Amino acid sequence: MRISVLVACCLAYLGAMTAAIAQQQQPPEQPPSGGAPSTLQRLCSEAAEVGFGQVQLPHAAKALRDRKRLRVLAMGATPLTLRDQTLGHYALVVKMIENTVKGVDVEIIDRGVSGELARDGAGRIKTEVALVYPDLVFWQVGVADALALTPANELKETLTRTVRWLRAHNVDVVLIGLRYQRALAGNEAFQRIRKAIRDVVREEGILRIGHYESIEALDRARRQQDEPPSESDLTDVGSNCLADFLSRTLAVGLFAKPGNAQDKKSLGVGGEGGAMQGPWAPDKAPDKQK
Amino acid sequence: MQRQVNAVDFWRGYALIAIFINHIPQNVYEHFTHKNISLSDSAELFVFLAGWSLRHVVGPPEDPRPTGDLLYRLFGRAITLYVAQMAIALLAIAMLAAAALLLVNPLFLEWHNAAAIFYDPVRAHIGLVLMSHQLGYFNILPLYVVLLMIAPSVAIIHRYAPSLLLPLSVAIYLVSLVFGLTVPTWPVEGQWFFNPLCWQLIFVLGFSMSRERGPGGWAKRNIGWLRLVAAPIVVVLGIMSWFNLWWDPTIVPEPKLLFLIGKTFVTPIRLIQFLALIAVMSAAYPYIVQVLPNLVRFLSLLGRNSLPVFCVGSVLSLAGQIVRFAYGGGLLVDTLLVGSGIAVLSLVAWLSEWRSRKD
Repeated sequence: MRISVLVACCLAYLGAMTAAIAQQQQPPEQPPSGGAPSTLQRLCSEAAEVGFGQVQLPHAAKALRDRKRLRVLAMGATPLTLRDQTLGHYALVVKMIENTVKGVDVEIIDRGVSGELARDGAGRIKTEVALVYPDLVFWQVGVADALALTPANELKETLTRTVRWLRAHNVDVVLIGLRYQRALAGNEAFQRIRKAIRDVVREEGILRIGHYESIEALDRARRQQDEPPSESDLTDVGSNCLADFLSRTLAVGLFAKPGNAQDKKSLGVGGEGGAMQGPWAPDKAPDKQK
Repeated sequence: MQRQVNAVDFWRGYALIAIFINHIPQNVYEHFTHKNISLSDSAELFVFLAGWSLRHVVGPPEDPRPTGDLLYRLFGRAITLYVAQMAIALLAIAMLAAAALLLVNPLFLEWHNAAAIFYDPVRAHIGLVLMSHQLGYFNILPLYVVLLMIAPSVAIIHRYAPSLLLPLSVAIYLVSLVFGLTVPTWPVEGQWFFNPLCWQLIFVLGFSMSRERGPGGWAKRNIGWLRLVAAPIVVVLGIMSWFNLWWDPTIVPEPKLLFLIGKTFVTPIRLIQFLALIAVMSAAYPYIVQVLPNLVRFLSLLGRNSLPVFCVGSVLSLAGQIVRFAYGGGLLVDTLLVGSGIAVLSLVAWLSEWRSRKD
C-alpha cells in the first residue's frame, strides 16, 4: 500500500514537472490581430493619465549616463502580470524600459517576499543592497502591513529611515504603494497605511507609483459614463497596468530636470538619455516623437 | 510506546509555540519570543532538532538500522511531509479565499504570495505541487521535505565515511555563500526563503551533535568551556539585536555573504550565534525540569507530535492573522488568539497520542 502511494506521488510529481516544462516552452501569446490596442491597453493608458510624480532619480540617471546600464533591486511582493504570461512581471518591465530608452541595459533582481512586513523588508533591503549594488530599488509596500494592522506611524518611521539609508548609499527608491480596491476605499486601516506611504513620499521627495489614484480615477470616470467596471476588472487593470505605470514612472524620474516640473501629458517625451518609444508614446507625446 | 520527557522534545515544543506566535505578526506576544534578543529564531532550532531526531531512525552505532529499511523510512517520512505541506497549503488558500469573500476584501487574495494562485492558477498550481511556489509562512515544510530527501545521503555518508559528513556539508554551505547559490521560485520570480543549500548545514549539525562519536562526542566532552565561550557571544549579539546595533552591510568585504546577517542563507554570524545559544541553553534544561515540570511535560507533548502540531499551528496562525484584521489587534484579542491557539495545539498533540495508543 505504502509503495503504491509512493509510486503514485512520484508519478504525479514527474507529470507536474513535465507539464511545467511544456507550458514554459509554449510559443508566446500573439497580440490581438490588426495591431489595434486592446481594451486593456486602452484602460492602462486611460488610467495612466493620473497620479504620477515628477521626482528625479539622480543615481539611476547617472548609472544610465555613465554605464548605459541600470541595476534595480525589487523588494516586497512581486506584482502579477497577466497580460503576457510568457514573461514575469519584472521581465516585462525590463522589456518596456529597454524599448523606451534605446541602448540601455536594465537588470531587475527580484528579492521580494510576499507577506513580509515593511519592518522585516527594511532589514533585508540593506543586506540585498550590499549584495546586489543596485542603482534603484522598487519597493512594493503596504499590503502586508495593512492586513497585519501595523500602526501607521511605525510604518512611516520604518519607511523614512530606510529611504534615508538608501539615499545615503547612493540608491534611489520608487515605492509601489497600495492598489485601489473599491471595497476598501472606506477601510480605515487601509487608508491609514496609504496615507503613511504618501506622507513619506511627500516628505522625502521620492517617487511613488500612483496606481491607486490612477485606478480610482478610472473607476470614477467609467462610473460617470455609466460603464462601471467590476471589482475584478479593476483588479485585472491594476495587475496588468502596473508594468506600464512602473516603466512610465521610471522614465519620468530618469529624465526629469530639477526645478522643471513636467506636465503629466509629456511623460513620453525623450530626455537626455535617448528617444522614448514606449507602448504609450504615440498617444502621449506625438509632437516630440515627430 | 510514548517517549519519556526529554530535552529534545521540550525544545521542539518550545520552537513550535514560538513559530505559532511569531507567525501572527504584530501580535502582542511576539515581543516575548526569543527572536527579539537573538539573531537566530525558532526556525534554526526546529531544523537543528529535526537533524538531531535523525539519530533515532539511523540507530545507534552498535546496532544500526539496515540500509534498505533506513531509506524506506526516510523517503516515506519525506512523502508524509510533502503531503502535509500540500494539505496545509490548500487549506491556507481556501482560508484566504473565504476571508476575501466574507470580509469583502480582495487584498486577502494577494497576501502571502497567494496572488499567483488566484490570478495565474495554471502555472501557480504546478508551482505549488513542485514546491517552487510557496505561501508566506508556509515555507518551512518545503525545506524540511528537501532535508528529508537528502537525509538518506546524510545517513549513508555517516555510516560509511563519518568523518566526511560535516566537511562536505560545510563545503556545500560555503560554496553557496561564496557564489550566492540559491533555489529559484516559479512562476513568481524569486528564491526560496529558506535556501536548502545553506540550511542543510543546520540539519547536518543537529545530526552530528546528536552522536556520541565525532563532533557530537567532542562537543559533549567539552561542553563546559564551550559554554564559557558561547555565553559572551549570546549576550553581546543579544544586546546588538535588541538595540539593532549592526554594522553597515555595504562595507563588509567580499564574499559578502560570509559577513552579512541573513536568514535565507543562514549566514555564518547567525549560525555561530545559534550554536552558542544551543550550548548555553542546553545547561538550562535540567533546571527547567526541576522548577517547571508541568511546562516541560506540556511542551514535550507538543514536541513528540511535531508534525500535526506544526501543521495545525501553521493554519491557526493564518486564521489568527485574519481574525486580527477582522476584529482588530490589542491585548484582549491577541490573548484570546494565542491562548486558544495553544489550547488547540495541545489538543491536537493529545489526540495524536491517544490515537497511537488506540492503534
